[in-house]
Amino acid sequence: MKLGRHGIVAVLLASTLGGCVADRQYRRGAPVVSESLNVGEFDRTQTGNLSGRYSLAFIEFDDKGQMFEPAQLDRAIAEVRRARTSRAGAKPSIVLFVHGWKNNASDGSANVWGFRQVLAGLALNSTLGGQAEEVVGIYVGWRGATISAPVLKEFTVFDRHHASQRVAKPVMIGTLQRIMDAAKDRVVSSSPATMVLIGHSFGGAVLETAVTPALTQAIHDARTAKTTVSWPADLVILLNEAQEGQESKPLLDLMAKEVKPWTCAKPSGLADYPRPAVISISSTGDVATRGYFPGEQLIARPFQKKKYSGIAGAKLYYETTAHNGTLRSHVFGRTDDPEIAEAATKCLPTLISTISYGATDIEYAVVPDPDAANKTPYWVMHMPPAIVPDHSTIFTQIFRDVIISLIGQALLNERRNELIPAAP
Amino acid sequence: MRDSENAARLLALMLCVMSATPVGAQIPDLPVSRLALPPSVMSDDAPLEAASIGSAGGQTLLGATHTQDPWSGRPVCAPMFLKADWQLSSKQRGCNWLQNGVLSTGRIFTTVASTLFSMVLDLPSEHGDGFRVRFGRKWLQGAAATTGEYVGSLIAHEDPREIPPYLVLRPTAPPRGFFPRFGAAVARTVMSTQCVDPCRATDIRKRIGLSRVLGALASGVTGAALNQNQGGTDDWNARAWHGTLTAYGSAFAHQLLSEFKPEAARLGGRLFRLFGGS
Repeated sequence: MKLGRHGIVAVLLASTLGGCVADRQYRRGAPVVSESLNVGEFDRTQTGNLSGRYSLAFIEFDDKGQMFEPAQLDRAIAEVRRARTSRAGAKPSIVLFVHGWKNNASDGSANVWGFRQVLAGLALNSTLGGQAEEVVGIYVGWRGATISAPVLKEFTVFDRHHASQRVAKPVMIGTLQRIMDAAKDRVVSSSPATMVLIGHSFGGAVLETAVTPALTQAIHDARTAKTTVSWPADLVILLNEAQEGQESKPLLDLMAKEVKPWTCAKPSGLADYPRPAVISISSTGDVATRGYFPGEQLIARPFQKKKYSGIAGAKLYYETTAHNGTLRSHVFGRTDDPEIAEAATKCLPTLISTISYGATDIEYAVVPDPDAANKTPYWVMHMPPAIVPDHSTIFTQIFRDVIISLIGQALLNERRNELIPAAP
Repeated sequence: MRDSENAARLLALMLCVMSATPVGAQIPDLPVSRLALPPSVMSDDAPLEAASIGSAGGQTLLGATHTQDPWSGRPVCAPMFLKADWQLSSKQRGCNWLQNGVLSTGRIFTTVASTLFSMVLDLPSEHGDGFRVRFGRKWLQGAAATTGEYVGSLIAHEDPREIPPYLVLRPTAPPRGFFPRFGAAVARTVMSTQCVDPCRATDIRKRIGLSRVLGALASGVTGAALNQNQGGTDDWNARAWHGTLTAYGSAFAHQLLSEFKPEAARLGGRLFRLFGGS
């Protein structure tokens, strides 16, 4: 049998169609689920049957950015309110995750499971810390995957990059606002919940685009009320974000103009840093955003505008925020890494995370870069491949531990961001 | 023409397998109802107090149904678990061989690149062969190499992954500087690791990298077999050994590239940016 050119085209077409991932809802009518993971099943350093209990809600968006089922949002908000009022003085942790490229809200998506691991780890951490607080996870699904066939799926990068901008507004903006309000508002007779938003890859782009209006509004509100800035979420974390730096620049510029910059605390003094509003962190081993992303931007150049001119403008167009050296503000790594150790001789670390693996204690630190131009509450940094080896494998045990520890420490810091006094 | 037909059939089979096995992405979603256990099997210490009553669209909804542990329903062959699980089960080893070896996107791209390169060089051993034949031959050679590695890792009880996640347990910091990192790439080529139960810091064992040797050998032998009676030489042994050494060298180059991935990625990104101009 001879397979001609037409045959090969037919096979390719069949392969593509066979590997299509539909624009569909995966959690139709599904209630918020309460789950309990035995942490020892995925964390070999844990002994005994220690479980982390959390509840998990899904909110799914179609490829146009519309919610498949608005009741999913209602259920998620109801769960947030229930957790806040479950007992007097409750301070639950609400963690919202926007998944990345090649993922969706199905249980076949590894991001769903990685998020579950983070939630279980947070819940266990809270339990071991003495005061068991509830953990509520909200997984925001969108059509991150359109083709599942190998090789072919790699070419969806252009389309999904565009989709990440489209999905982010306007419904997503309102959705995030409602969730953040439910976690923080004073309508409920309880203390505000802890609200953390996490976005990965193109999900980071979705999240940043959707949450920027709320962050901007918070600065304007603080200016009007003449108070410190009360961010709508306690922390926004962008992991291996696949979005050009020029999209983050307006927010960074606004923060630089309005919010008092952090100053490097000398090692002989006391660390007194205001807490971050946004942390953008990418692995140096993330070839997708560091190596290929500029290539994608190059190919898309005839159809896209550069928002800033000059060499700096070109860097902002081609590089993601965390891979842009001029935007990076902190260094992150093991404390015995010479680069980190040297940075720590100039500035006191803002965060230190000690991960105990039995007899082994490994210390990681986030240290401000005294020479950084970016001194805003939008922290930008690299992380070594030992923590996250590549673009997609974000939920490694070490990174789960680090992120849980960093979230805890960042939130312990009560110091709020102050505004730069207005000119008379 | 026979070679050409075989290569075409191989390609068709490959694409068929690809579309039938949606590697690393979509698998049928697990209905929530499968995760939820009936109240009768709930443990006493975890009653339904987590359930909440919400209201949506005038409908009263049960907010949180109690679920035990969904972990057993996870897609063990999803790329994340293949990379992040500390120890791989037999099934995961098989998936790793198929997804990250035989059918990996990287392998297919590098096979295409190597085929195009061979067409430019057009060595006497391949003279007259078209793209499909060359691609099929190289792909088969690569598949044999990964299969050899798979078998070698089973025999020598090696972890088949380049940098297994449990290595973070090592108290020493990763090597810094060119020569220590170069040395680390050499060490990863000739040596391998295994984490024995219960996989704590003291359970990491070093193993001789038999998988790389068997992989290179399989590649060399397959290459010699596929190129038989071409190139004006009948010295099968010489070609097999030459192919084996080349494949072992490629394995080392791969480790080297993996070690210097951050620098390579930065260089690639800069080149794209420079090409785009300001």
